[in-house]
Amino acid sequence: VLVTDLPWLPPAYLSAQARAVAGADAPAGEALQRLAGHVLNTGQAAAVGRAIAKCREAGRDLSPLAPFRLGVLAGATYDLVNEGMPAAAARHGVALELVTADYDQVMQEALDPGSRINTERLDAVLLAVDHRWLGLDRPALGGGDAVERAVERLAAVAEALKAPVILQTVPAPPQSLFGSYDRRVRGAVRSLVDETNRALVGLADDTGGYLLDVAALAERIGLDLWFDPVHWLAHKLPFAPACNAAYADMLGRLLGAIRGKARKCLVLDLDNTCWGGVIGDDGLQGIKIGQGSAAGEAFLAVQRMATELHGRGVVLAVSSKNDEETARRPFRDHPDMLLKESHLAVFQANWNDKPSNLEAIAGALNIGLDALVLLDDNPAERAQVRAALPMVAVPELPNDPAWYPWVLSAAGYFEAVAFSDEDRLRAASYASNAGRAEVKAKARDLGDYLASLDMTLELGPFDTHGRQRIAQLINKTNQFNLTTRRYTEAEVAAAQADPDVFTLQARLTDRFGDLGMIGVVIARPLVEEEGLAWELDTWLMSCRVLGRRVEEGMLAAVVREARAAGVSRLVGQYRPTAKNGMVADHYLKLGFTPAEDGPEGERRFVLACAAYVEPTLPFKRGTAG
Amino acid sequence: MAGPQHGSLQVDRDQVRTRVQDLLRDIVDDDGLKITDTTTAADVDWWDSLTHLKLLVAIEEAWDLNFQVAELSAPENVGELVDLIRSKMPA
Repeated sequence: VLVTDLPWLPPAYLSAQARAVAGADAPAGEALQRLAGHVLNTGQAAAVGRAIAKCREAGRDLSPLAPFRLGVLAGATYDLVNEGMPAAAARHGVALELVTADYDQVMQEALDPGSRINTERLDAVLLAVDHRWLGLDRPALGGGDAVERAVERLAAVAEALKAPVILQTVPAPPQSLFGSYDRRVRGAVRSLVDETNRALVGLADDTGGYLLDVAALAERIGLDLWFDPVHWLAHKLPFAPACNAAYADMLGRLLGAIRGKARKCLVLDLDNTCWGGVIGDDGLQGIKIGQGSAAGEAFLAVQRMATELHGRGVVLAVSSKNDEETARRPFRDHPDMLLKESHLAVFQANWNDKPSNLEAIAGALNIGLDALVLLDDNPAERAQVRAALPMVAVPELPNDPAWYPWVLSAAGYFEAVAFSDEDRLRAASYASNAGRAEVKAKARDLGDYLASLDMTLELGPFDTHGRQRIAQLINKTNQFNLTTRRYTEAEVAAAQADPDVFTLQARLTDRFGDLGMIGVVIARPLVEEEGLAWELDTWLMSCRVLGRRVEEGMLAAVVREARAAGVSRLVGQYRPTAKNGMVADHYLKLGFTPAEDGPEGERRFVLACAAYVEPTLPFKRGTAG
Repeated sequence: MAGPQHGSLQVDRDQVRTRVQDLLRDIVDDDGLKITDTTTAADVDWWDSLTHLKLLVAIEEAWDLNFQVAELSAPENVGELVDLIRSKMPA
């Protein structure tokens, strides 16, 4: 996981349509920000930048992007770096216009009151200089005032400029003179750079300027990768071109923060994001959270990060596909939870789609959707939110939760240019009562989204290969489970072997990967006056595939097989438990009609096979087993 | 060198040159731009020093390779640049 790859951004598989946006008449700001929200190579970033420039020249509306005129004074060849800046700024809500100076004209431009940099009415000027321009590139072992001179030079520039400055901290070049002892020798380059960086913080405070912590970026990338001697010698490039995108993004988020575009609220998914496992299935004892296991500590680190953000004023909310009571239990009853209900401004646990819940959260907090960040382990949920609400920031996440805090931090959603007492209190000022927000039911066309998932549903009878997983699902699934009948692996094998018993296993694959076995049906023959029926003894599904019409695909397979077996009716059962309220209407939604309750008080539903019409479903079909 | 092998090398060279042309089209923002092996920077008005720098960096990104200092100023024309790229590609 490399910060230079900006791995939190989704890949640009819709290759940048920047020219199309620039050519169209529609408002361009949102489309450009959406394009800029993907991983862009150098050419794509430049194309987005050109599109922004063309729109501006044509006088087109770039809102919601906030205009920003930035001067760049660089002590090196900055043309390539500059070229990536507008796309990165757009990603962070800013329509950037650059005013640049020629190579190494920093002092001349700054000190001349009639220079372009001083007459263009800029919002800020970036002072893009490093240890070489500052004269810190050689040791001063005999003493001297290298640091004072460097800081005075910057102070003089800052004072002469009409606009606020953005100062850069200085990455230390990797060559050492003494080795570890460099840190202890006054006048070694490492010491000079460290001292200068400390002084720069004070200079930013004194001049009312901003600080771009380039030294921190170079360190996290690695100084050996950051400094590129070949491109420095050949073209005077300030750092390796591979670092351009990360540098531009860092600048973009600072400009965004200056314009008030930094995100305000972190929305957390729960299952497999805040703890390991699924609370509805694994229960309070089964989820992984807390000390004692690496996995539990990984999720604890996610919670710690969230509480630290809360401590600096970021509002926290929850959006989880769960029964509300179930979802709240860990917060109330699990001793290892760091995250408490008191940290949460809104608590959305229901079975509505995530976009509707995010709209409800933004509405309840009275902030824009563009102030939200969603942390969610489920790639399909992420894709759905990005498709429906492109203004919500949704970081890509690696499979390993150990990296979640890294991603959330590296993506820089909550960049700040100040920290006040109000900030400290802000999160608390949003009634931190973990209240529920009303979801406005909205008819969302899911067709395109489901089609884009490129799903293959494999359906087939039980087999020996799948038996263990089938038994596991039968014994573990609590929520999407119509009858909650538990069977041992031997009983599963018996059902598989019995020619009168119908069995079905379902596996799902989408473009994000293989979700494995996600559904099970067992039907037993029932001789009725009207003819042969199948009683649906067991029907369960993994909650990971909710909202994807998998249950409809499974029903289609059951009816096909039923017809082939001469079965005229299906009889569904629903046995209510504390956890399976979400499937109370399962059979009604599938077109069954209610029938008399069964002998054990179970609710029963009937479907005539002859009346069933198979809908068009978003799956390619495969055969399992 | 045997004929068929020479043929496949020619295909490789064409592919590399086409990709270089695509990179230049992106850089200059001109979909109609064309280059041949004998094109030199001096021949065309759009190939200035900044375009050249952008091209070198784009080539490094596209083929995931790193030029040496001496190589950066060596190619006299597109053909030599294509040969240089091919010499640095994994076999």
